[in-house]
Amino acid sequence: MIYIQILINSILLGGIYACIAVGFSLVWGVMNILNILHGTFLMLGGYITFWLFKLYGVDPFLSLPISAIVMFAAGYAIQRGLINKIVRAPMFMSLILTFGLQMIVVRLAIYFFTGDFRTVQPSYASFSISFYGLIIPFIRVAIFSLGVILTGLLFWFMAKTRTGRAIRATRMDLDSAQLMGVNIGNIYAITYGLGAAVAATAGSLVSVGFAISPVSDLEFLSKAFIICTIGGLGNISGALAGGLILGLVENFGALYLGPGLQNAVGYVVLILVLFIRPTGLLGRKGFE
Amino acid sequence: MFKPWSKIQWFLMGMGVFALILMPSFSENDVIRKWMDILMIAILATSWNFIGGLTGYPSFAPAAFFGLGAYITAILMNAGFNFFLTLAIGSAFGGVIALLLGIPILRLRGHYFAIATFGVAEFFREMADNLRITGGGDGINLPQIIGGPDYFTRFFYFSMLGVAVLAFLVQYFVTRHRLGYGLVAIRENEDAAAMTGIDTTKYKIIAFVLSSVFPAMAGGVYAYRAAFLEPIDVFDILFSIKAIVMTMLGGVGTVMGPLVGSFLMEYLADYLWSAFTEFHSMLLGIIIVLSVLFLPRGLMHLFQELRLKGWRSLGAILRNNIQRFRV
Repeated sequence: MIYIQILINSILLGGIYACIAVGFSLVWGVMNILNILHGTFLMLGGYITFWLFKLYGVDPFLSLPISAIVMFAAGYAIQRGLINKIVRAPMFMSLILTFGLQMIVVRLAIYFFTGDFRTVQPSYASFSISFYGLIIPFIRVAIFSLGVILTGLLFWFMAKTRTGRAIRATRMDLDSAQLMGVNIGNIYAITYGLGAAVAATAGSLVSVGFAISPVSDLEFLSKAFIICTIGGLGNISGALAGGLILGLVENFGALYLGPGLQNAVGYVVLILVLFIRPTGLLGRKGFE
Repeated sequence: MFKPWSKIQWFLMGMGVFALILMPSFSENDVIRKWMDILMIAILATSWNFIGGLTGYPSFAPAAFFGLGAYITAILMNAGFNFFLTLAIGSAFGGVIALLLGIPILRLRGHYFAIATFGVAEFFREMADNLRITGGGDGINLPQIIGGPDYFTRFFYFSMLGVAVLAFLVQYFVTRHRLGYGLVAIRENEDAAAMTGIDTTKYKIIAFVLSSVFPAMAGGVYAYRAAFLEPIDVFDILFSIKAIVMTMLGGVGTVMGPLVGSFLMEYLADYLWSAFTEFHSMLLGIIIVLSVLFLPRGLMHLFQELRLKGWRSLGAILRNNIQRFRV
């Protein structure tokens, strides 16, 4: 029974993980930017939900679009104003730039929000379904489903809309896309904004079930690293697969090796996947 | 590309080292301690330059090997070993680990390599948090050094200075040797480098090993000085970040760049930021952002350009820098 319970927990966790990673995968895949700010967007999204709930009593699930819109605007502005200036430089320049921005934002967040751990506690936080001795917390299921819906929305956007097509064209061939009349600066900014919006929504979801603080952003970021590398870049199903695998590995690692080594197991899997299949399990060649 | 230094350049460098040797005789202990920190960052930056600057592989591993060296010194000194012996063992062990890790990791390119090295550093930290030999999350104590504060401040300062000089000399001779040219060729175009007969795998592994032994040594000195280690202190990813930022600020792939970057930045930091202790990391962030935007190729390149074009063109150069890589 415990195995089934852990399996359920892993799948629920994996859905959230996928949601955490998918925006990171998008930005990396399209612009070849290792976006250190990704975890920070998650953290800020979580705080938007937290403050709206605490100050105005807004239900956490209703504040999802707000954090998405706010962080889309922030992401768009950051890409347009700063990252676009160095996007053609050797790749670790963008990495360092986003790292510098991360230091600024996190420091400000600590100043304004204090370093305390916060979590959103709506009245229905403790509801759960139980049958045959299995416990399924209602809120985890809600987070999981919303995470999957969000990932699906992004998938639809990339596949069907004009902007999504422009983003994919830019990823495949920057210069040709430009020749076809795609405004690269704008498309990059939209992509980055989308990544930030998805991250912020994931952060809002995470803040309901888990505790967040201004410095938890690096934890989210390292999860996104691992998930994208395991799953592979270039498609959204990669993030889903990576998220599920990491959820399973962490929960079963905690069961067999003790909870202390839970994170270490994730890194072992990361390095193993890089050795065996550097493009990730579902990665496609040409997208690295 | 890397011209051997003229007699004047060596003379100036010698004067600099001489000044650093004399400095403790007429300085307060906290000034010496400040310079010890500068030297430590300079060691990390110089080491990162081997793999990140010359070879073009963005590594987050310095923190991993810094922590490894720190823990080896801690464990061995508790077992009764001599301090300097533990430094040698620590750096040798760091080198061997780098060799073993380098063989698979260096097949990766770009961001995948960066993430792999990040994973290695975090994995080491998780292990130090959980193993019994490292004291786990409670940390580990080292034997206290015998002697007054005047003595041990100088002892650690000179140990750090020794490692820094060693790292610098190795870097100088590597860049003036086949190896250095090979590494730069790999950075510029790895496939083309392989075509011209460079054994790229071997070269990259040598660079990775070189970039790991000195942080391990610096970590050992740091450990003895701190007298107490916690995983989160020494496996701090900020050590890697600082190494990268200082090198980039100074000039990637140049011998003097990492030194100039760390001396300038840390010294500036000390004076400028004592007023804003609370926002220390934020100011560091602002400096990073500005230097990436305006000095993408570092101060050393800026100096060279200024020497060619004159000081008047400073504004034009900076404006040109920010236009260079935009879309």
